[in-house]
Amino acid sequence: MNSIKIENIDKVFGHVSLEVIVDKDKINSRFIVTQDARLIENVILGKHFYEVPDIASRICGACSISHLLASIRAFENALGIEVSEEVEKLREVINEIEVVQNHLVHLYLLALPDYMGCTSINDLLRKDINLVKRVFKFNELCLKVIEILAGRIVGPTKCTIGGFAKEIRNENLNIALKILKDLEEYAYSTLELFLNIDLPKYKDIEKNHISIFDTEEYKFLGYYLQTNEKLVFKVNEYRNYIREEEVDYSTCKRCFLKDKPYYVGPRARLNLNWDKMEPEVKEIALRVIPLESPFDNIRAKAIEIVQCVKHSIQLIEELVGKNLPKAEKVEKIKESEGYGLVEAPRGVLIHHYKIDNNGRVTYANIITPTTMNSHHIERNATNIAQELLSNGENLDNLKQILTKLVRAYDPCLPCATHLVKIKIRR
Amino acid sequence: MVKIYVNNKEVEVNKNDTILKALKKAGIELHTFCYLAIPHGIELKEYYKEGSCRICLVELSNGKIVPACAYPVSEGLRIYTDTPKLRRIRRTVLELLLATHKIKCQSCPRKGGFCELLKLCKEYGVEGIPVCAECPYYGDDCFLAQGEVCLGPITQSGCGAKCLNDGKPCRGCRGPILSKDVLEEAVKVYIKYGITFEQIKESIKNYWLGSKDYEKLLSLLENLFKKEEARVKVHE
Repeated sequence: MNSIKIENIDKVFGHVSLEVIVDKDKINSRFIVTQDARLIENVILGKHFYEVPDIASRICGACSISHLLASIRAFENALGIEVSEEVEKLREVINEIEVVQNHLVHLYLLALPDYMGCTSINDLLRKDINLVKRVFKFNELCLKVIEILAGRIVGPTKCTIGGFAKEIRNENLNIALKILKDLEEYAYSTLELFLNIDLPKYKDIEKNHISIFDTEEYKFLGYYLQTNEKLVFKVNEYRNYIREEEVDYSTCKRCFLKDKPYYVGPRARLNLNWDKMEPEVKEIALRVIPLESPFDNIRAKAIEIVQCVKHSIQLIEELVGKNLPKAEKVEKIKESEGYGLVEAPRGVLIHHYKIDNNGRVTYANIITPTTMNSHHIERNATNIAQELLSNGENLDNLKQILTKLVRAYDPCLPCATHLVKIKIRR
Repeated sequence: MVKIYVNNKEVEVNKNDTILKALKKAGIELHTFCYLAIPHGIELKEYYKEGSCRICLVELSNGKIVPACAYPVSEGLRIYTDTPKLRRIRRTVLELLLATHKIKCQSCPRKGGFCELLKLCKEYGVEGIPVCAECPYYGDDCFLAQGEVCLGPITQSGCGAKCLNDGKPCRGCRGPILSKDVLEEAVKVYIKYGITFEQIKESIKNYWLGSKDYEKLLSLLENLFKKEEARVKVHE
């Protein structure tokens, strides 16, 4: 038995190793998350539901907004609170800008050095300082929009159950709109740069994709899920389709769609929802779909950046001139169950809670995109290893390609590890 | 007119002025507690000349530290307004001032960015002022008055009351203040608005459970609540 281990992969969020075990003819891969367990689901138990979104948003610093919104929407779903169209639109904008910010950090700071022949952003800095300066400016502007609209960059303070905790003023919307219009130029230059990058050509063997389903728009908040086999189901029924499984070697679970690994993320969104994109973006998307290789994530992200910026400009333009009132406090509390569904930057995120008559949380389940993707990564790693080993490729090259593969998925491990329940064996 | 040198820059000033008055006229900023434009209160038109608070200390060229409000100018005087030594001394001065300061931020009209003491404490890294001092609400607008549990009175300030400004009560993420003065005042406020120890206990569990001062804080708060409740009963 022979094992190829890539320990502590760099340029990803968190700590992870990949192990490829070669046993005679059989090859097996293990996606080993070594990050400490976070136990957020157990921390939440017994808390009043009003406090939960703020705690849930602390699961992850990179995608705190998605966790916050998923949690808020789950409780709104449980208590039957309907928010106005304006609130829904503004939430969509906040989430989309978070997606843009996450994508650009991954594209430029984590993925680009690989394809420019550098080891890290520090190397890139020596090669092309203006590019790095632009990236940081882009990042800064995105964060500014979030701060203006939602209050705080990490775990926005203004978002709450029922809408926004403070009145959103028209002048804030106008400032945000102005910055968003500046972002458009940055988004297009990103697209140009990343569409022309040479990516490894490799066909995905597991073709199952899942993303949010919406009939009209390319949305990030929704209620329905769809698979690539045109199966559409409500998030309330996720248990019937998605199965979670614990593994002994990693602190991250793995998920199956009818016993098959599946992929969630920008590539899945683009493959399934490309026809709902903005017209200009649709033309670009048509040139690249179907995105079949896991490495194509990078292209999907570049296209999504343009789509998100354009879509949020459109949404904010619809909102300008209206005042968003302060949310009212929830009066009626009953024993209920709620589901929140959000497309986080890295894919579908599901929050599921049960509360009792006093509003205390009695059950919590959070399924994050990286958990869903973990087995998909393993399957593809196995396949690539098999292909390259039979071609007699040398080990260093193989290791490099496998690292690139993991990085292309952009796994977010702080999110993934909070799911594990610790078993004490004595 | 006489010539003096402030931070090695030449300035012409009146002969009979104190250093502070001369600097103010020349447009050079120096920390003071007297002569402030107070938003809701009285406005002092003249500096005190007593040198009692000692926040306006400056350093002379011979290394001497003097209060600017009481020291007269003279020809060729060299003054430094910001040196490491001065910063160290000012920090101590602030700590001493804070020790005798009755922290009733919750009901003070100068809170929410108007309190000079708080501003300086923040600049010099002195701890021990609750979030209430930075919070914009008082009176009926206070979250406690609306029946919500807010940890502002017992939480270390410095965040600029971000959550409160955005319409959410304080959850205590910057950590507790262990000073007994502050806690005493906070407990009075809590009891005034009918918030019980149990409610506070549940709320501080969220972010402070793992901190090393948690047990100490809890027992301190419990005692103070008991004491204050007994006092209120006797009063009635």
